[in-house]
Amino acid sequence: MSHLAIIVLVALITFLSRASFMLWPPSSPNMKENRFLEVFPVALFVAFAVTGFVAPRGELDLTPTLAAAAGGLAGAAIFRRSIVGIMACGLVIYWVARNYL
Amino acid sequence: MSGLSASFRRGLRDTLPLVPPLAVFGAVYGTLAVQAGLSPGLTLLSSVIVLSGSAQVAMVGLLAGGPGPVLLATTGLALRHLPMSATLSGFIGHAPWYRRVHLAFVLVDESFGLTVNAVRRGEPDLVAFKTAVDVTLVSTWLASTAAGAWLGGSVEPARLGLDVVFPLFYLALALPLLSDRRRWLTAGLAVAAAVGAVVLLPSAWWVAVAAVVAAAGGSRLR
Repeated sequence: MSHLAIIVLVALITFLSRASFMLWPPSSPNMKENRFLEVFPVALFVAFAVTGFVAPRGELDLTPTLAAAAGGLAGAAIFRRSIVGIMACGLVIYWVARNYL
Repeated sequence: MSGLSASFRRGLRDTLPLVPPLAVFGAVYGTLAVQAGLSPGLTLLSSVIVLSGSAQVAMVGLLAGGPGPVLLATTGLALRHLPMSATLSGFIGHAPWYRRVHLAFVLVDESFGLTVNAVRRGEPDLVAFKTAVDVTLVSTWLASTAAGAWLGGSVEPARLGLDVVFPLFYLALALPLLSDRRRWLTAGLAVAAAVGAVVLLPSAWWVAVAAVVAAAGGSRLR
C-alpha cells in the first residue's frame, strides 16, 4: 500500500471518530450516558496527564517528570488552579529537578 | 482586533501558551516523517488531512511495518474521540451542519480541553471561542510541520525540557473540574487505570482505555 493511501486511511479513521456524534444535532442522552459524559473529561485529562508523567518517552520512566507533577499540584494550591500558574510551577520544578537533583 | 468578538479573543489568548511546545512537536514530527521515508509534500499533506499529532507520530513510527500496525494504532488512538465528540456535540447545540463538520475536523485534544474549560467558566460564544483555538493550533501545527519537513532540523523536545508541557496542561485542565466527590473518585480511578494501562498495554491504547474505564467506573458512583 502506498504512503498516500495509508495517510488517507489514517485521516479517514481519525475524522470518522471525531465526527461520530457531531454531524447530527444532539438527541437527548439518557441518564446513563449523561452520567458517563459528566465525568469523561476529568477521566480523559487525568489519563493524558498521568501517562505523560509516568511514561514520557513511551515506556515507564518515573524521574524527574514526577517532580513536574508535584510542581503542578503545588501551583494549583498556590494559584487557585490557574492553568498558567500550574504549568509555570510544574516547569520550574521540573527544570530544577532535572538539572540540580 | 476590535472587530473580533470577546469570545474569539479569549480563545486566542488561552491558546497562546500552547504555541511554543506545539511548534516544537510539529517540527519534530516533520523531521521524523521525512526520516521515515515520506516526502516533505506528503508530510505536510498528512498534517493537513489527519491533523492529529499522536496519530501522525504513531503512523511514521510504524510505517516500516506496513498498513496493519498503522491502522490498528490509529484506531486505538481514535477511540478517545467518540466520547469527546458526544460531549462537544452537547455543548454546541444545534449549529448548522457545515459548522459541525468544521468543528469535528479540528476536534483535537487541546481544543477539546480548552473548550471544556470555557464551558465551565460560562463562555458566551463557544463556536467563536473554539474557532479561535482551532485557527491558532492548526496554523502552528502546519507551519511547524512544514519547517521540520523541509529544513530537517533535529529538534528534541526533551532536551529543551518541553516534554512535560502537555501533561502539565492536562493536569491544569483536570484540576478545576474536580468539583464534587464523584469527579474526585473518577480522577483517582483514572490515575490507577492509566498506570495499569502503561504497564499492561501498547502505548496507542493507554489513554483511550484508561479514560473509558475510569469514566465508566465514575459514572456508576453516587
